[in-house]
Amino acid sequence: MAHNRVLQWATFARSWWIYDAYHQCPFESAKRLCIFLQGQHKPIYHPLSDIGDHVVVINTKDISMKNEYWRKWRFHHHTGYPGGYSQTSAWRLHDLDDTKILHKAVYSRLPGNLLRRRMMRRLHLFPDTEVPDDILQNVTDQIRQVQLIPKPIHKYSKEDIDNFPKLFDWPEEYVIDYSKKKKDEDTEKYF
Amino acid sequence: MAASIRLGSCIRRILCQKTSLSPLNVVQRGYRNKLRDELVQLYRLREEIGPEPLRHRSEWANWNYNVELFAFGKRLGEDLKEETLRTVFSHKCYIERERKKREDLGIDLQTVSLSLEDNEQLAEQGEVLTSRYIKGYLRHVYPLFFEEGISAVHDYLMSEEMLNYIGRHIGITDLMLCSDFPAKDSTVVKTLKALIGAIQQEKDEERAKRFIHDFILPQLIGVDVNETWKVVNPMGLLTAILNSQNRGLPEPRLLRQAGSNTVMAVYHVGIYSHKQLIGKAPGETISIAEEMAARDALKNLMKTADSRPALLLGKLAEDLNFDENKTNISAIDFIKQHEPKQAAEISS
Amino acid sequence: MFLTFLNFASRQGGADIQWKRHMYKRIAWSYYGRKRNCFRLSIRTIERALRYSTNSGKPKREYYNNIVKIRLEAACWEHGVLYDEFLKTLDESSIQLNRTTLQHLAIYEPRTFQSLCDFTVKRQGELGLKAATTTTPSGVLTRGML
Repeated sequence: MAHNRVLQWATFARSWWIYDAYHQCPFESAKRLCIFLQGQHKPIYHPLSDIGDHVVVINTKDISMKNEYWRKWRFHHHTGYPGGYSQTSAWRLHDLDDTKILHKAVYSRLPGNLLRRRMMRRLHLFPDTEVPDDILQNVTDQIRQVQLIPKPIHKYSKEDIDNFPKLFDWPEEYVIDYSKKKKDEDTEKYF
Repeated sequence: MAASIRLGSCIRRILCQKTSLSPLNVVQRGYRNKLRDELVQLYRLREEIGPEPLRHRSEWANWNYNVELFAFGKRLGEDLKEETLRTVFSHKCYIERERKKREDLGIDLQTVSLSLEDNEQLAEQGEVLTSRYIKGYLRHVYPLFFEEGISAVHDYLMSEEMLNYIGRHIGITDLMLCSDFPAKDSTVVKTLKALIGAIQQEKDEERAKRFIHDFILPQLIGVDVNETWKVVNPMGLLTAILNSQNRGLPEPRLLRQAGSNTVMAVYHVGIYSHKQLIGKAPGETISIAEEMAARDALKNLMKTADSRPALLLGKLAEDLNFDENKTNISAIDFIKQHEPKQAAEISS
Repeated sequence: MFLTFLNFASRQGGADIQWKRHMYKRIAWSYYGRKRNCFRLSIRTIERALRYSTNSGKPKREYYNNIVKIRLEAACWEHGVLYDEFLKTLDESSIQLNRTTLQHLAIYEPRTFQSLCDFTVKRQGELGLKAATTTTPSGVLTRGML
């Protein structure tokens, strides 16, 4: 009956968000996703109350990492038994499971209290855009990506490249693309 | 180190021992040696005697009824005569009991008369005035609210619970002359009504209305008037209102939803009339949300929404003039008059 | 010299020791194990607990201030305003509401908070070089009044 009752319901209802991890840094993404999982985007936030939202993440197989991180970033694991310690590099873990890196990044970012497992269960990770319908129907809104997706040179058309303002032309013998280098017979004979 | 401190404190205790009992109780810091014994003794005494019986304030030695009566009038800012105040507080049951007591003692009532009137008539007068004024005021501040709603809010204010609450907080419980103790709620309510009646009789009606304004109407602060009136069919009433204003019939539309495949689903439904949003509300299911949206639209149309201006109370209401005989429209009559033709055919 | 009587005298005049210890028992009633009943053990825990409670004043304040900050950031984000800009604008415009009041407004009176956010957006549009090119906004708030 009461109108105020439904207002209460709406205040504490969980909404569902979708996040596209395509070409996104997993650690920066985790920072943003944790805000939504903990409910820090709501004015009624309290660290002890379970008011976080659901987050659906797609394209986790296409996450990106800067510098040498794919080779050099290591994930640690200990089974609990003597000699049970192991290290795995990021590229290898990603090879084993497409969603594991983002899962670990978010898990380590969340506060280590009893709510952490529950919050993790509200994080739905999918390696590509194939999401079950019953999950996709719940989704209300999307979370903005943390970084701009870079556009590689081969995505630009030839027209765009030609029209790009240039200060000077490279000399003809200057090698930009090694595969397109003209064969010089004078030097070739020495090899 | 520790030993030296202990020795020092021992010597200090010996030196500071009380040699003679002082008549004055000197305030000391620290622990009272005998306090525990005293408290234990008091506790045992209390166990023997049992709990303190509930006694009327007049049983204490420093009770002066005349002074208390005078102070009561002054406290409320009403300079009522002493006799009037006496009448306000004397109940029929009390007078009868006194009369019987005298008869039992063999006192002739004709020679030593009981110069007390009961407050029955005053209470009746006060109740009529209070009821009339509250309704008039509510109709004035909520002109578009339906008569059923006005009655519901009026009943809320005039309920025994509410008047008892007000009466006890202005301190009429101790002053009442009645046979029941502890005082019943109904007796307190009757006294409060009699007080209003007495102000009307001795001063004037305006003064009594000011009293109602200052003591009873402020209880509406923080009360949601829409919650007091239970609308059974909000959509029907909304349709009738829109039909009477020649606006389009209400069209519910789903504004947004979240978690629709889960147990914690929430739907926001808005109600449109001629493509204009007139109310919206959330709900667990679409049908609940639709009903609540209709209620919200009704609130907006009756001008009792949450964003309504504050009530006219205190200084704002000093020059308030309104016609008390004017009544608002009854919802039942309104629906009968303005029900859309198609709906009427279907229902018949 | 016979000095033993001094000892007796001090013991007679001393406070009721159990009564004095009762004060500590009032704190120790909820402890677990022997530190609940044995005074020697409970006094250590109690003193540490009292020390903690004295020292925890500052962290407690920081903890609650942080919650208030997160809530206000969330409330500002809902209306597309930055938290720092929001507080700065309110301060410059002499809207004297502290953060505790603002978070209560955000929770219990969201429409009031929204109006404050709208005000911030409008006010920020009037600041800087861009203001010279824009026209005076219509409505109650004008540049002259602020």
